[in-house]
Amino acid sequence: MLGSVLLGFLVRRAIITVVLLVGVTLVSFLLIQAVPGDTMSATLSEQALQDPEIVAAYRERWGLDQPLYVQYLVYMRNLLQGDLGVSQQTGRPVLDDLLTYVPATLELALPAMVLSLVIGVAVGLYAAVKHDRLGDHAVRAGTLVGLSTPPFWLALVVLYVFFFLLGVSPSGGRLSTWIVPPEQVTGSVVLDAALEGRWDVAWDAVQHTALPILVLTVLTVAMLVRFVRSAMLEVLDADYVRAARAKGLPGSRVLTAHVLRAGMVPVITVSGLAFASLLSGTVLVEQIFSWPGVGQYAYRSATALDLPAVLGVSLFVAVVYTAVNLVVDLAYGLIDPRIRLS
Amino acid sequence: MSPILSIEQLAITLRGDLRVVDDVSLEVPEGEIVGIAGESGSGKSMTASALLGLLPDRSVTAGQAWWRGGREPVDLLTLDQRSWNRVRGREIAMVFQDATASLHPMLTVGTQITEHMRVHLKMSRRAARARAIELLDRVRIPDPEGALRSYPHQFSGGMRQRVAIAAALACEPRLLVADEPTTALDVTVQAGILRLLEELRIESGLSVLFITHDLAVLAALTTHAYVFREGRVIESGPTEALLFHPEHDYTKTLVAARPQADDWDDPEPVAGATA
Repeated sequence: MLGSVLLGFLVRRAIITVVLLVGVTLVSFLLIQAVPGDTMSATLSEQALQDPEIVAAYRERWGLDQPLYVQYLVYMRNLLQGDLGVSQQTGRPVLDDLLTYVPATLELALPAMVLSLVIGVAVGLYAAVKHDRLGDHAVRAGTLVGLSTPPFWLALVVLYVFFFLLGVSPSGGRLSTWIVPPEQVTGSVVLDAALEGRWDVAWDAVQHTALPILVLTVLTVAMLVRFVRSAMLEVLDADYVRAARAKGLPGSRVLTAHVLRAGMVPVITVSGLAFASLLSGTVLVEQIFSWPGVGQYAYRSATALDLPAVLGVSLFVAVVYTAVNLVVDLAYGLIDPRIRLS
Repeated sequence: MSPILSIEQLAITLRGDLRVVDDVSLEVPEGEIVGIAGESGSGKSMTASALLGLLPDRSVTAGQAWWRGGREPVDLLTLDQRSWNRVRGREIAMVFQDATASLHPMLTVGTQITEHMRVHLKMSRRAARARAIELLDRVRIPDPEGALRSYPHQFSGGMRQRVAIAAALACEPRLLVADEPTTALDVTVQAGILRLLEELRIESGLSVLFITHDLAVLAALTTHAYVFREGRVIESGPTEALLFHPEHDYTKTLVAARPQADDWDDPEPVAGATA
């Protein structure tokens, strides 16, 4: 019975996702049209723009001479065949572009998320337990500083300290310039180097990830801690936690088995959103660390009015959000039997 | 024989200098059910909390609460965290007012009945499970084995309170502190729970400190009772005498205020009803 419920849930979700994705393409498509200027002026040189022949050839090459709805339908037809089009700016298929930029972003987002969850839950729970005492106040001050720190400023400061002053960290990029990058298999330089057995290269790549991960983690932790704290405070007051204490269970067991379990539901929602926003790219941080991630790709495509690339990124972000939401909903069911069994 | 619990001049002050209990002395003889009656805010639940070390943060207590159910007498009010965890759940257990709130919604009934057995009695998973089935059977939960795998929301209110009682009894405590355990239940279900407590007292010599604002319940269950008002004991004595010949004006008011239906006979069981 549980299986059929789950199946129905997944089918409903799949239908909603398809509708959503169509909507996303439509909106992005129209929005791009609404922006004054076009991709030609962003891509072609001043001189080329003067030449009507080049302009006509360019318009024909990219299908810009067709009416708008034809352009959209052609795009959708290709999309159904898994063809995201060719970026007008890079001249490469958008799918190939995404396949190089997304893993770079993942390489930062995944470790940052795992670290944030571990630190955020631990610190948030600590603050809740120390409610209104010194520890709690200290944590609150810390998160306030973290939340009000602009990401780009923090990125610059850690670069200044760890690269310029201490010299313990590289300045940016994914690898030191004198190293020949490993062949792309997973797209993560760290993993690819490790797969080739080039441990020194993998270590170099890890060092390059350290600072951007640090910055992303600080920002995510600051937000998570506040959520975890308030979620856990509510649970700590619950009768079933008093009951667990009344049973004479050790404090650590009460916290892990009883308090954390119940407090995780709202935390999972927020973590999902945080992870999705990390995945859809953090332009400023990527910019400062010269990190070729989705954020940079999105930014460059948008400023160049590169329609296929913008649509590709929009679709990617939409897929990320729906996928993360799906995982979050499944996690609810896993944690809370009242959701699973009803 | 000295009582298993004697509270002497207990005072509880909450943070912000709010005195919620003042000069309360009280005794629970072994194997008896003693009642505390009083309206909400009279300090009866705070007294219960003090007996399990569950007072809110930064509360201050004065007086003594001598517990003689362990190896040697201890003053409960002086226990540190570690000693508390040897007493509560093991020697003194508690049943809360609302089982819906006092059972963890996301843990199976099995976990909630066995976890403290495994801690206190160092039982194996299997032994604890076997004992849990016995306990559920004892509190008359049908299909105990299935119940172990179920979650609290899959039971009715009365069944949930029975599960909570089973969990409280798991480590064979000497004293059960029951804080209005039947208030959230309807009358038929309530009668079943009260009968269960009385049986447990007779069979296993369990002492019970029963807190209620329902004088009918007090009369049906307890031999000795204390009436609380504004944090103080204003009258105490054998329950029958207390209720039929109250001396204190407040007790008289309480007795007069109870619903008049010449009630407290066990209601006729409804066909098919399970408490």
